[in-house]
Amino acid sequence: MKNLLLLTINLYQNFISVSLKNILGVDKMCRFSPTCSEYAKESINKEGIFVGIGKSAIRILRCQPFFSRSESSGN
Amino acid sequence: MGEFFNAVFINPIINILLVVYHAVSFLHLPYALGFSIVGLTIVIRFIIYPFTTAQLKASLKMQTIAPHLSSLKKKHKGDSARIQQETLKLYKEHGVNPAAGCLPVIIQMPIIWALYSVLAHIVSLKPNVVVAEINKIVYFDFLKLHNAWDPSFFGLPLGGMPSGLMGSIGPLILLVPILTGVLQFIYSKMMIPAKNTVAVIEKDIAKKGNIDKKDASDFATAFQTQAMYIFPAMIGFFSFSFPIGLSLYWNTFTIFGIIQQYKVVGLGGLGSWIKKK
Repeated sequence: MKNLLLLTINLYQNFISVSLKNILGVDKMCRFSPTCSEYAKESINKEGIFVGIGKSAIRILRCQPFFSRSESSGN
Repeated sequence: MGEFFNAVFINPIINILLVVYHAVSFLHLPYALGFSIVGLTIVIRFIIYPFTTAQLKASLKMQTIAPHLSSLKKKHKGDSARIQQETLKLYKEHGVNPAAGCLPVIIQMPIIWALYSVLAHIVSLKPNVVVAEINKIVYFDFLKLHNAWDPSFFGLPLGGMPSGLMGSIGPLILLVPILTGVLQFIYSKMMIPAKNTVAVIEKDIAKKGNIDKKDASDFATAFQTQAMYIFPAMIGFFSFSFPIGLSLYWNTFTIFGIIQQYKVVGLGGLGSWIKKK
């Protein structure tokens, strides 16, 4: 299950994300570093599926103009 | 969900298309539908122009501070609070305001997708149903069609696919997917930062030999450089098997993107190639 999840994220990073960037013509489009998908991979690896997904979801939700504190590492 | 998407994105776009179509017809230009596709794409590109520009600018700034960011991470390895603090400082120094976040992407993607689905639908309409289908959707009477449009563009059927036209037109039709791929390549090439940054990263990876977890993001950058060649080839292939009207849309979209990119950030990775010559 965990591996499947990580594989999905890898697929997203290598295929969908790259395509999106090429369509929109931007190279780096993240406010966070590491990127959300990278962060998701790490936290799922370290803290398991549930905590990992939860933390990643919160992080993605913070990626919008109304979250004004521009934290970068997002921990 | 489908209904919602139609009401919010598809139908307004079809109405804009009809406005453009009537304008083009009024000018008595030939190939009104083809020119309407070009016109509609340009109109939509202007609508999302501010979002794209904001994103390009943010991306450029992120690129310039990326090396600082990674050295900073190495320096304070393990001390995430410190890294956060220093990153904030770095952002302030360089005037990076990543406040927009994912919003520009989230706004642009459905519009680009809707444009694609509208045109895929439009070019596939049979001449005998065009008038009835379109008149169902338009908001105002003056936008209504009275007769079917000319579905060709400089002799090419907008609804035909290069793959299917090989027999009747011959290999010359391959110029359509080739042109589409080349334009996409130019666009992708411009998006990559000036060559030296990428080269440094590649050398870095080569030096270490093995790629550990910490370098995963560097590896991703190298992968992206590969994607710069793969993606245009893919688009070229799509163009081969999709209706020509969609290639017309995509190429207009890309050319607009190239011009916008040039105005906002300059030549990018293309610069080193042009200078060499």
